[in-house]
Amino acid sequence: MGMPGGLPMADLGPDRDGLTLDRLHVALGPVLPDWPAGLVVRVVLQGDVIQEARAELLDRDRAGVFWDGPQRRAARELDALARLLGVAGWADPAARARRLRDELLAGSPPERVVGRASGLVRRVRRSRTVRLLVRGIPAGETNLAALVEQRLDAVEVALSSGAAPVRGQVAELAGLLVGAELAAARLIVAAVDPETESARVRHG
Amino acid sequence: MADALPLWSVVLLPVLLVVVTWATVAFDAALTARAAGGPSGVGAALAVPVRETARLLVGQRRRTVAADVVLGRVGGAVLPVAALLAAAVLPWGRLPVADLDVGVVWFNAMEVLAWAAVWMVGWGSNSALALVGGYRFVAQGLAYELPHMFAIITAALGAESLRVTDIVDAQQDLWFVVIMPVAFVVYLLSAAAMTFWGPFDAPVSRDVAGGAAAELSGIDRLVFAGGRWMLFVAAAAMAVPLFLGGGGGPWLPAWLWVAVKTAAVLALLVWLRRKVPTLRMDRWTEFAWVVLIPATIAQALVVAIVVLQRGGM
Repeated sequence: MGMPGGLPMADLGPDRDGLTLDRLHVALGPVLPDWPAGLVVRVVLQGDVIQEARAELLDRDRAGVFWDGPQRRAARELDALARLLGVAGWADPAARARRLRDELLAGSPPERVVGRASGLVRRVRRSRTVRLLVRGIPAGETNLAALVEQRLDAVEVALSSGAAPVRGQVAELAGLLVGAELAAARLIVAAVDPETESARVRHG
Repeated sequence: MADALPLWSVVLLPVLLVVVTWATVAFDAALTARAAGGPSGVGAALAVPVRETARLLVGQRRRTVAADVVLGRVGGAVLPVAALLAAAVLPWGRLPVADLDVGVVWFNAMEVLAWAAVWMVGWGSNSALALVGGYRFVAQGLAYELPHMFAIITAALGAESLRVTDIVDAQQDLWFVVIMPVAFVVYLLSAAAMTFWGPFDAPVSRDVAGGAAAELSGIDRLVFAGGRWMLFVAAAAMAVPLFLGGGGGPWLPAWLWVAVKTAAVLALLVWLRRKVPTLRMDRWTEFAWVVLIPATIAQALVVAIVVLQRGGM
């Protein structure tokens, strides 16, 4: 097979409709906008549909833990919300979430942020466009709408009680992504927002 | 009505287009700065396009392995050229630079070039995310182009002419937005979609790291992004002669009315982007075909009956 520029050509494989189509091997991450730190998902794409996926964390034994303590855990949830909104292409609310995150990280007490943050979460929940965009997209056993709802809940819980919500694990990602289109896959990863830090501690 | 603006207007047109584009980018930058809580103000916003242009002018061009450089660069250059040629039929006050008797068709032909341009840029850089972005725009075209064509042809039908100045003259008593509101709304939506402006920015969106433009840097990005902004301005400005009575209006001179109306349409579209997240085509195409196309056809039918009632054609 030809190797233009030293790159392998796309190979062939059966697609979901039983046709034989090109398969392209692509690594999503570690450098992508609004992408979890250190995450790499190696996918096999047909068109923009993910056929196979393998997720891993880079340098899992090197990094320290940044999102620690109630204040920073709350900030982390706002960071995750900002990334979810960024991937959904809603720049203004994403910028607002980042601003609230920065206020928390700069040491402002959660009481001063919680009102604006829950207003933001309410606005996202109320948006009919958001509902239209996440409706009816399966993700493994669950679906994207449920994952997004979880992410919004996590913001409210972390800000009101300081408790750390349970996060999905990187190992679970692959099962959620197979069969999704690229845009949906980005939303799924952002909505799951897998744990990228405690895994490092455990292995380090 | 074969007269047109004097010859110097040909030279002035690109300047004018760049100035309006500059103001539009600055307005958008000001809204972005406000949302992010950063430094805002007229001066800071006006400086953004200048600074960004300077940065891109001195920036390195990124090279990708086995890229189709010619295809990608031609694609990028098509955008500003198409924007400029499309703007040639826009009346500044009463007259455009080129008062073609097929002005509406000319405008449509120029903006359809964007379809090819974005795909060429996306394909040209030989990068998976850019390719995804390029094909997203092809799919987007399938959703917006037909309702768009029905919308602009409805305006031409109302005036019984494809000449843009005739369409403006036909609105002396009543703006077309009043008798064809569906066509006007569809035109605004498709103007956003054809210039991959939010909420139809999936071809260059953040989730694919800039999509078709993912691998562009330096002068290539300047030409692509600048051309896209200019096309956006031209598409928004065309709504004025088609639906908003062109330069018609009390007290003020025609050119000022055109400026005011164009600014209003641009502000509306810039504002709209901030209200909704990106509409993916796997969600929008169904709406476009099931709702928008029948709605625009029904609109055209109503206008046709009105024209026949008036004893036209």
